[in-house]
Amino acid sequence: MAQGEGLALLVGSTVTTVFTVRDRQPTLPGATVRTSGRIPAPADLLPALRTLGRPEASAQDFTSIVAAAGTPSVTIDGRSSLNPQAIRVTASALLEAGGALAGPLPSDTAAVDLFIHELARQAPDALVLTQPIAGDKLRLVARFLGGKSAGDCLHVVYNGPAGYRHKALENLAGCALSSIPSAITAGKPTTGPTLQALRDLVTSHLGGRLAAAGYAGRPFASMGAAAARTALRLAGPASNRNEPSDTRASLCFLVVEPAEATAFLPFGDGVDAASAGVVGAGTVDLIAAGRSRPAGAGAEGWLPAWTSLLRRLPLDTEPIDVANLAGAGLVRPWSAADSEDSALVNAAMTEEILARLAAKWTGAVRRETNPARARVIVGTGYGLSRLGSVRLAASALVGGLEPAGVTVVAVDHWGASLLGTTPEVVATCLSPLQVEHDWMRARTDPWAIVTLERGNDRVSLRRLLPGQVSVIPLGAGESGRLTIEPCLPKLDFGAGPGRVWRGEVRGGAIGLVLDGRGRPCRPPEDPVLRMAKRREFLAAFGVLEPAHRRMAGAGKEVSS
Amino acid sequence: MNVAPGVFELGRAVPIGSSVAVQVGDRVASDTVIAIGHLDRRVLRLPPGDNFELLKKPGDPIKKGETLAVMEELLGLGLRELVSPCDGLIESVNPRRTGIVVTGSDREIRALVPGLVQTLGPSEIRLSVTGHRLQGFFGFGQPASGELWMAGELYPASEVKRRLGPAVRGQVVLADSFVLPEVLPVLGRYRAVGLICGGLDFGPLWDLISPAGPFPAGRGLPTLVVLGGFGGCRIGSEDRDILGRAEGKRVYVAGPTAGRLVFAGPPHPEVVVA
Repeated sequence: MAQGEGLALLVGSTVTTVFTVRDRQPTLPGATVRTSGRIPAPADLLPALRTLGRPEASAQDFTSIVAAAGTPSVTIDGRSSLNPQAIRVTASALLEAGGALAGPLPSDTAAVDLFIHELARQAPDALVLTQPIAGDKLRLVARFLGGKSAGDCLHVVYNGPAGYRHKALENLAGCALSSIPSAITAGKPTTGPTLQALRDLVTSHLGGRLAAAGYAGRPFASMGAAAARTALRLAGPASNRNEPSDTRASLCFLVVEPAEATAFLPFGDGVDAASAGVVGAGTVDLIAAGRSRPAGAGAEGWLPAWTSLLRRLPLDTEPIDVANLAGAGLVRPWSAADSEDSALVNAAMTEEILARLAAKWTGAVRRETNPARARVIVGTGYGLSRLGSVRLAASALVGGLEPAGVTVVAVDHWGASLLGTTPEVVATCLSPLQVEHDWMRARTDPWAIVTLERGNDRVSLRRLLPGQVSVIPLGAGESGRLTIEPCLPKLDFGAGPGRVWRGEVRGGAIGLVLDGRGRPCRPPEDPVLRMAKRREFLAAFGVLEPAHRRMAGAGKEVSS
Repeated sequence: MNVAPGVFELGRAVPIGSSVAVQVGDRVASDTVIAIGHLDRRVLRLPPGDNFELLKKPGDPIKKGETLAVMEELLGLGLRELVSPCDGLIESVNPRRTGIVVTGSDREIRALVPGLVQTLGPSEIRLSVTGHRLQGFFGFGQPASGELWMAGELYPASEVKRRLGPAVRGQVVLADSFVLPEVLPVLGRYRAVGLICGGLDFGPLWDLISPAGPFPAGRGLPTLVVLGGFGGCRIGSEDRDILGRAEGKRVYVAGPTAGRLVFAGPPHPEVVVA
């Protein structure tokens, strides 16, 4: 085997992808096998290895492994009313280290018995205490851990205020207690020690699981750590990332699984991370005002309301059929969509998760790094791959996050960017910041005049009309100079209210999408109009047939 | 392939600390007692403040429906009772008097399926079983066994009323194809132990079993195993043949994890015809 060649393994929570590596870069396409939350043994990879023409390969041929399965599950304890910042920092560090959140604990001290029951139910590999515990709670935790043996001991990490000791936990065989410097020093977050402690925990746990699966000695990283590293690499040097007056994050790297999405946003020298899940087990729910019910959940409980999903679909169908398709997508997360309806429902579910993530980001992380305000959105993960189309995946990213301003959207269908490649740009989306569209008022005055100058003196001039979505084609490999002239003084495309935005844009499979649905986008109440507008949006992304695109009436070309 | 005839291992969960009544190598029948212990443990929350009177103390035996505490309501104008949800005993009352821990009484845990005891673990007894194991598409509920009762088509609602009655008590009901999720509470009222069906609608089912629903994670409902899928799905022909031959025989049904919803396994819901 030549230097820099071999195989790379990407173990997701639902499927595993094997890549051939040439010149230290994974080559596309990869080959997948189903994993269902565990690390597959080398023998289980045989179908994928046959597809790649490497049936003889052994575990020693894997030159890099990135895994989401086999990472430790961690429970974070703390009362969000007392010290939300410590919980925020710990949750973000956990995702950046690559651990998995076991779930939120009841923070009400009056319910310490419930706390222990929930801890036993979650059965985490580690518990992080962001605040000291004492009294009944400490006694009950000690009693719970006293029933454990050294073989299944729980790692307890204390990163709360200095000066507290948990003597009752120190000499228990079932507890490995470590106290690290506080996550908050003088009121400011200090991520370093918590991140390092969690990285050590993840590395030791994942290393053990990989060795047990037959990959001992192979270089590896957790999916979270690889995603954070990729986000930093794609965002470029720190000096390019932040400007004092900047209110927009430079890049958002999203790992989208069928029932969960995790966003990584470089900020300063570090990365802000948060996750949202369809069953309310994301880190954004740790700071939720009501623990029993995540915001945005419908009458159906943790899952989004079927009517919310229906509002994101261009289908003339009943909520009961949407529920059946959504349920099938949850029960079989490893299976790709077998019909257009199924793919559209899966995409709507992804949009709901992303919308939940964006809506709760400011409270759970910080306002400056909201994924909805990133300049570049890069999406990867099987939650996007199983949609079967890069275009549908891009539409789900835009539909869920509703980015404003000029936003580049890239989709990494195979997840190879986690192993070092650069994902392809699919679309550039244009939409004014914080301007809602009233669907009941027929307005034809444009919001902006958009000019695209290509290198060979070709000029495209379009109007961005409120309530309409249109496309200026700009193919992959092409680039152009974009000018957006707002027609109203309050409209802001990223250069300030009423000011002209100018910049270079790169083309992709879709081109420039002129999104006139407003931000936040509230779909029309009239079901017929809502479906027509949804079709128009999906036609702009090339998901639906050109006939629908013609029917939707894209923006008029003024001159070219 | 869904059907796996032959010999396979089946784990039966037993509570930690229970007394095991079998040894490795023992041959067990469906109704053989394999352990004695309790799985139920519940926390009942008391209201804040001290305007209640506890009628029981730790160690007292209790019956389902028995009053454990009396509370004042409406500024002392009314009284409210806190009743026990199960038979058992009071394990503890926390020092701040904000919660009572109730444990279920010890009960016999049966094998539910004939087999040979392979291993004894602290929380699981593994049996070697000979028979057919059918993997379900979706399901929930405790492991249970009962005679297979063919219900035919349980659709529309008038058929449900016509076909279901006290005769299903203790039985595992098999419906050929699509059933209405509303059938589950009806079966629960008639004390059926399980339902095997081809398909059902997820929306109304989720209304029942969601965290905000009347039966969170299916607690209080018979064990459900959906073999086909959501919507109007039928049971596959091979599975139907196996189940058809098992009419009147004892079958085993189990959800993936007791007391918790698991959408995507493993573990998967299953039916065992031994």
